[in-house]
Amino acid sequence: MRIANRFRPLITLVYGTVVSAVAMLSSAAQAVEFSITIENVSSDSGKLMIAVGGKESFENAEGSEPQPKPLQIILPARTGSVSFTTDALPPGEYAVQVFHDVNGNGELDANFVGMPKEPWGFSNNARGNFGPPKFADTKVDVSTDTAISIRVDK
Amino acid sequence: MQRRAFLQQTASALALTSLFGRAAADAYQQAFKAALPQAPWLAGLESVAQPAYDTTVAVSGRWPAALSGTLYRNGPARHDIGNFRYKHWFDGDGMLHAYRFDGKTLRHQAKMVMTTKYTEELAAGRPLYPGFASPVPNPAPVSSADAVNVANISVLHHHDKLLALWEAGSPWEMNADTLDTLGTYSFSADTDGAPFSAHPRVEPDGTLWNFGYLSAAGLLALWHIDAQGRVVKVGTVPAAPMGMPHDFVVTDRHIVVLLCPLHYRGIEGSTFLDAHEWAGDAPTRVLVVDKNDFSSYRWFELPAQWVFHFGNAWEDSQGVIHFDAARAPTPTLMQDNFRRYMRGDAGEERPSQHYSYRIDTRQGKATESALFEQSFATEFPVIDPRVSCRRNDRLVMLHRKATSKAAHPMLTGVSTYSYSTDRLESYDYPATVIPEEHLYVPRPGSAPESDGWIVGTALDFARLETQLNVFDAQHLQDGPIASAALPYTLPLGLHGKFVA
Ligand SMILES: [Fe+2]
Repeated sequence: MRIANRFRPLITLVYGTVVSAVAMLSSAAQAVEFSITIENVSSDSGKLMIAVGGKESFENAEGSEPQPKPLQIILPARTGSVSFTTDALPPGEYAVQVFHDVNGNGELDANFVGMPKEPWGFSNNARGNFGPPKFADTKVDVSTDTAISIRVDK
Repeated sequence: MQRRAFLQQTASALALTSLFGRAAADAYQQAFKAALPQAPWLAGLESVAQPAYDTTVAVSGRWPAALSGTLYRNGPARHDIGNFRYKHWFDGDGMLHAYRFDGKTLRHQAKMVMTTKYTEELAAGRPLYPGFASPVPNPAPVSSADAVNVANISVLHHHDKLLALWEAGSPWEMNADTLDTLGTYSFSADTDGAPFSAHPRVEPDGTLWNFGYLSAAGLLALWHIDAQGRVVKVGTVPAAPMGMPHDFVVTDRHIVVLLCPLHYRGIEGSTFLDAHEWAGDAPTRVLVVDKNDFSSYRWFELPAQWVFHFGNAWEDSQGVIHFDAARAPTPTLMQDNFRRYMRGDAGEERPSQHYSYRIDTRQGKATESALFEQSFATEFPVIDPRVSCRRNDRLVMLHRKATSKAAHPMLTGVSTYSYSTDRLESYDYPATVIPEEHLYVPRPGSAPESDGWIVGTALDFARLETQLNVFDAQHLQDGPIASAALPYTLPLGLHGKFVA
């Protein structure tokens, strides 16, 4: 009934090595615009840590660094909602994970058994059962320009 | 051959149960209602009639002048939500009871634990979340254990806090006077939300030890809390996801956890109980952890078995850990009988037998032997709390004799045992009375295990009353010396604590 291990992918996926959005750029000609709004941000403190990845990044994240590396975006937190748009991705299916790094230490703080203590969310607002949801529940079709919103919560 | 037949039987019973659960959500409720008139013991598994109680009654008999205080008790109480009935006894939402007595009267106070789950489902008028062993229609996703925490197993009174305990999530803090729910309780920011089992062991000086089972994660959490409620240390030990451990023991040097071979196979598409599969030919794994250093531990093995509850543990000068437990050959009581009860069916008897265990830490060997005959089934072992985690001589427990003529399938009486004199004393309740856990309450100022009372509640389903009975611990077989009866029945509960 427990969460610990199943949250590790979330921590690893969002916090593997930070790769800039520019480094992720594939052929810009094919790119689509993907707009993401983070809702329910509880304070101005810290940062929103966002990762956008395909099925492989998501599923390879178990216990190790995800391959290929997801697109990682860091935004200042602002109470209420925070939006951004990226055109760094080729068309495809993506899952988005976000957490609010309230204390700005660059990590999703967890208790001693690995359960998150800071607000987090996934695309489709999937919450999973006793842990992070599966790719199938979080995937978003980004074959054309797309806008989604994600609620972060503890 | 026998085992094979057993496995097949279990598998088909589980399949039937889940189909049954899906096809008609209230079939259990209908079956239960239909069975009740012919099986009045089922009064103990009805949903509690009221969300709160406050009743004062007179006591009868020779109530000891020195015996005053409060017996707090917890247990599953709300078994139905509208026309939906839970499919397992352990799914019922918890209700906290206070039995307050002063020698003249007994005041019974009770309130539902207002967990997040109970509060949300009360507002929705339907079940929202999957239970321990109850699938629900259109379940909402469960993002944390505390979202389905029903706070229904036991109660802890420690550092002036009254906590209602479940085993997979946080304790719930209760107002000790009003029994109002104050919210989940966190010992520290680093432990918030981590599993805190329902059977913490408290040493005579107030030092508290506990564990938490993190099935899928393959971890056991360990807790060390001081008498003031401060976290001294916490840690995790990697452990195969198995056992669903419910209780454990502690000596002056070690923590001992039994992981019975009930293997976690993944929760997708099933309930938490059904995510576990019994492997009767696999060993029980025994974890022995150094109390001073959670990273220092060893594993031992015992034969396959199922244990809910331990009595106590102590360690001798030869490095041998001694402990005792109510041991069953399989977890069938939990996997099968406790589902059947919910649809008004007693099922076959599944007695557990009291065993003594030795873990020889120098020879690297764990052994077990039966303490009583198989015809004498035991459960709910307790001790004088003043010898917790130290060598004890006396054991108090509920029993059921194979010859019992009881008109119900539950435990039938209360017993005490002394290791030093090898003397077993029993009191058998009338055939229409079901005892709940009975506690050893020391006489104030007496030496440990020397003088005190045995205090426990019981359901009399012939008179439709829940009673509280007091025995002289030295003369148990004479029967209750004092008692008090409430003018109503309460659902059969689990564990309690006496607070003087
Ligand atoms: Fe228990």
